[in-house]
Amino acid sequence: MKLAIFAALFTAASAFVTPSAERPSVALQAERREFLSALAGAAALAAPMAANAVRDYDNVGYLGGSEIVDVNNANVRVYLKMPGLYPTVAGKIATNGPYKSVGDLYNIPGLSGKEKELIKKYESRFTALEPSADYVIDRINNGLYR
Amino acid sequence: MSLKEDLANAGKAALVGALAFGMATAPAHALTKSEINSLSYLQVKGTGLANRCAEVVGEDTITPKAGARLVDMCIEPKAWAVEEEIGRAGKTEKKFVNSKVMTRQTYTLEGIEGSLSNDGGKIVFREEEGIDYAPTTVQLPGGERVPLLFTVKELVAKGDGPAFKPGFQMGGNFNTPSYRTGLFLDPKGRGGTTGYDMAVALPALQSGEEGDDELFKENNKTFDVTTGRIEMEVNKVNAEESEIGGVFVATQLGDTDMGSKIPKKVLTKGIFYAKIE
Repeated sequence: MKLAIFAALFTAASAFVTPSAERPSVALQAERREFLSALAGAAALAAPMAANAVRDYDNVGYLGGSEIVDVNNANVRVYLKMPGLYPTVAGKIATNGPYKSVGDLYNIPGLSGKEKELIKKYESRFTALEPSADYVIDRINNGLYR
Repeated sequence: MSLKEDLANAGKAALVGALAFGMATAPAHALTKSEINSLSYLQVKGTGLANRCAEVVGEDTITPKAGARLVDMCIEPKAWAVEEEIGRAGKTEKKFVNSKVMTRQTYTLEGIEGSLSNDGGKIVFREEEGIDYAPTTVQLPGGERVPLLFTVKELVAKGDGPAFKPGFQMGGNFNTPSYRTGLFLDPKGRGGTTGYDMAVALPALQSGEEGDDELFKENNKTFDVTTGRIEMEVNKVNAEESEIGGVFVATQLGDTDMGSKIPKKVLTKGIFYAKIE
């Protein structure tokens, strides 16, 4: 998405190459307004086409921003939003290896009955997607403290 | 040349060499673990002692019981060599060139622990946790700096016998994650899990929807996980304190700059220490 906006920005910008110093600022303002509206139009058009660029991570929506959370890749702080899980159960989910399915969560060694109940409570919000090395390494501490 | 072959070539002789090297340059105050434990923080601070592995005194044998673990494992590299293509008399060959370490007193792995199991009469050590990675930079003779993530993450080391005694060897593969993780931004603001995905500071290079394809290798950040190999040999075993100590040789790849450059192979030699629990 961001890719498309930048692409539109630069294709639009190429039409306004280096305005010379003598140009009055009023004209510059008008240009800027024109090109921002062109940008908006282009962005609206380009948005649906900007899917699946090689540089995008498809499952970014499951890292904690939405209802469904990917237990294989999400950072441990995502479980703060689910009362009761943080820090003990969340810690156990985040330190243990890739899960083939959400049911695999119950096989974590050392889970007590109460903890299993808590996981069951939020089971519908979990999913187990493909673990991606750059997210798995940051499951405990990803450097973002909010 | 596979990592295993490199290791076999460099390893056997080097293990003996590393032992001699280690003994020759060991500081006069190589302390045992109990001596280190008796020091206070202020006595250790600033001395560089925290970057050294404890030494073990004794030549006993320890047979780990079922469910035993190796804890407090410390791996201290003492020599680094980077594989380079040396051109000599017209032909080039790959050689390991000795390099000096640029990282000051923080290149030792410490507190590593893992499970020990007996697999068909041979000990298998599986590394689980601890400070098992240390970003280090070494400098080649020409001045070029080679960063690497010295690590033993997810090591599975298979031994050659059922008990720890002087002469016991174990070795295995480990995973080397990327030197830079996802949040790192390069000087143009591009990163793995964050940041730009094109060189936005170079508007003249942008062409078409996907932007500057010439810079694709730098724009597309990949988190490269490579494999390394380590071979350890136990020299000293203290049955009373349940400690083992010895030397190791390890090879791994250096930094790939998130996919934009070819990594160099780095050979590390040093000593290690561990406690059996």
